[in-house]
Amino acid sequence: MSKVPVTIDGKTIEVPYDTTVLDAAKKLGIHIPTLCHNENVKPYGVCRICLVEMHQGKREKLVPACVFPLRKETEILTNSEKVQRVRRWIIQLMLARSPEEQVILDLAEKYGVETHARFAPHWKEESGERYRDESSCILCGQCVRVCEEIVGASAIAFEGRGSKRRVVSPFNAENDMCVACGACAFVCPTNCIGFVDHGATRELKRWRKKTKMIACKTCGDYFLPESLAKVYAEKMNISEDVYSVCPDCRASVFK
Amino acid sequence: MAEKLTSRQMLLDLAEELAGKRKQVKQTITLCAGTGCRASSCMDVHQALVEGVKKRSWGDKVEIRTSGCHGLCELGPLMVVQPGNVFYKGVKPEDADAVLDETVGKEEKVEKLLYEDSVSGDKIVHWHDIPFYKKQKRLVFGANGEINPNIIEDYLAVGGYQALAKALGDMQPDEIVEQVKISGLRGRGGGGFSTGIKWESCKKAKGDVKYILCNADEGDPGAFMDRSILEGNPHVVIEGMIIAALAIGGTDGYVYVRNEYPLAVKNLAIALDQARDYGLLGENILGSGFNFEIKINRGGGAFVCGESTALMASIEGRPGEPRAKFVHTVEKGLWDKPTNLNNVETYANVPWIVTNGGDEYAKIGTEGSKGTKIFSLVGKVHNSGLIEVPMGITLREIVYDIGGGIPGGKKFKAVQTGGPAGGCLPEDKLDLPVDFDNLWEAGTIMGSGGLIVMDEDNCMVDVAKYFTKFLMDESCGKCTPCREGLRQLYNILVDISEGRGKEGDIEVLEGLSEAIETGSICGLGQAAPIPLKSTIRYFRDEYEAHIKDKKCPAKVCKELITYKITDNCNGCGLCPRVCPADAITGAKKELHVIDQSKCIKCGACYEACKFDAISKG
Repeated sequence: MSKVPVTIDGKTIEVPYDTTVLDAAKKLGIHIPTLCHNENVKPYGVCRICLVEMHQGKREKLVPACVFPLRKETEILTNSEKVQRVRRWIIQLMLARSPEEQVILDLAEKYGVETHARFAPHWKEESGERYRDESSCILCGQCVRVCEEIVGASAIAFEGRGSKRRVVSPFNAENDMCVACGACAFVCPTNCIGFVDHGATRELKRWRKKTKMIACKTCGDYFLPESLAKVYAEKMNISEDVYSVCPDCRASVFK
Repeated sequence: MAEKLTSRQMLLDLAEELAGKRKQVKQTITLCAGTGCRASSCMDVHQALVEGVKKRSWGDKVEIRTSGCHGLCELGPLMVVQPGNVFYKGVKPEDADAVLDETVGKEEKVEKLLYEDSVSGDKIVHWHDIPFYKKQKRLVFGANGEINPNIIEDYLAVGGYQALAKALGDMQPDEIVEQVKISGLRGRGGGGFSTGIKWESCKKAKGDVKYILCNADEGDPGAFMDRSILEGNPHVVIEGMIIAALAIGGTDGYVYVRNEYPLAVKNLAIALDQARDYGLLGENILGSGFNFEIKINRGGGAFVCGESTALMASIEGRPGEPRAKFVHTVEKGLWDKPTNLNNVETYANVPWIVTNGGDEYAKIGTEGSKGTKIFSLVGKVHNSGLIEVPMGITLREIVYDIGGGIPGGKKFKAVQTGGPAGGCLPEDKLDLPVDFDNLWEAGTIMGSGGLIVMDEDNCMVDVAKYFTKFLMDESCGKCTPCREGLRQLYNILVDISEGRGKEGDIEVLEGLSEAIETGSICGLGQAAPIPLKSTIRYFRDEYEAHIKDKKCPAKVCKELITYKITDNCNGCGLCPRVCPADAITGAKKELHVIDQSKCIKCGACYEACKFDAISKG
């Protein structure tokens, strides 16, 4: 595939056609902040924190670094005055949604945004518990995409339009599609899914999911949700002897 | 079932035969049966006319036709009697006998049904003399008033599908694209992108399957041009789509139409079946070996589904949310295949261009915007309805000549162009020639063609608040700036309109607007701050009056107005009776008083008072 030259903040590099700005910047060691990006799933381009200034000839606009494909000679400014200005507004909007969320507070501090929000938090406007509960969720969609693209369960999805958008399980109830693997919780940048292991049970509060845990045959520690064991047995044909031994004990059991 | 047409000659012969038959009918009454006239019971008038004809045994003498929208919806039901081009408005079923006896029988006019000019008060007989129609150029819309949308033979009789036959017989795909490029046609859905260039890019894109989509998800409140074309002349859109498919190499077509347009869906479905029966759609079109099929996809009513990528996601069966389109949809669109998406009105222009040539089309309009544009003219004007005008006409001509000016002797304040995400232009922009580029420079957009006229009773802060709320509610919520930003814009506008505005609010609105328009994924967010920005640009003093003086100059924002009873009050006792909040007290024949703590500012007393004794301010 052909290569295209790109200059990012004054440093030039040649990258393969269709490389994203974010990947090109990484190669140059230039940091661009991201929130919704996860390199294991398809780029989504919604948080807009990675907006950078793009110049192609006379054409000039702000583009999200995570999804913008480089197809011809391009100059990128990751920290121009305009980028900073728009980024600060976006951080302020995120603060209005999630005023107590550390990830957002850190971003605010880094980019010089006052952390007392200019805008009233949502849950104060709506005076609803739901908004307070979900105020830490920044709707980056990493959980939804990992659940669909990697786990293959599609157990959760976005619901609602505009500011009523949220991530839910179907009908906001417990559902069998969720295997309680916890991948959603591991990728969540704001830890807002409520994933807790209580010994013999695992809970994912946001998805109303509770499942029993299986104890390791060797050491007796609870480590595997029953729903996931079912997938191992039925879909992957792994024998119980294998899947019911925890990863820590496997080395000594299967020599 | 009709005999399939397998050659261009067969089509031409049939057209000639049908046109001849139409000419044999000496007298006709064509009744508008668009949605507007249907709402004013035109079908009852139709029934009365049909019965009247039967009663008189005039079956051979006069033909009663129904057609699509005539445009002057405000005065419906409308009809045109031929010969003589006699235009009647506001026809009721009980008028049927008079129309038949006087006009059909004696060729005399029914005085009370004639159009009366809003300025001179003169009665006007012929439809083309009415100022509303006089300045129009009905290129696309003309046939609407002549043909019955459910009868394909009507369309064939006025030359329908002959552009397709010409394209199939005489033109190479490249030539079709070239003619559309020469015509200068730009997308009528709002984007204003060159249709010819779009077709060319899609034609060049590699793929064995290519989709030809028609965007009929007309979501702008108060806009109904696409609906009226689909309802009144669906075949012109179908013909345009088939020509596009022929030019681009399209294999399958979809019309994405709102389910809230039942008559459009119905008439389109009937038209597709009829076109198939005649061999004008489907396999081996007109015996040429070219195949193309069109399906209808009904939309669920989300405004954002009018955005190209959201529309495609919706057809695919996914939630209607936009995505980044740095890789254009002409290359990777519906199901990742090359896809050409045009709006209803864009396709409706295509047969004319093919028939008359791109050069001829390019003679109409301005340097950068060619042809005509259909607008839905609504708001504070006498003649609201649908108008088709050449690009370059001034806003003044539209509002005053075609629209008949502002009713009630009120003063013009602004005209909003381009739908909910369009900007408001003040009086000193009235002489602006309307085209894509002029509107953009003036801080607004062509959009899909909404035109809302506002007078001195409209508060521009309130207008900005209204449209911002509409867009906030319709935002899909996928990206941060649109989802969170519009909500904050709206909150600030609510504060300003309720007297909580503070110094610096305008600057926050402007800063946030920049973040939303430069940071949002799709056109909805990118254009959403336009109503706000244009009202700040042209009516900043109104914002300042709200913020600094806590006054609403147009007396619209409830929290900023007070109703008081003046010395004119003679204690008639009417206002306490109409007040729903029991806020007015006073003894009989004595000055009454409004308790401000109870007053809900509904204005009922103000409207009811016969002695001009209640002040609002």
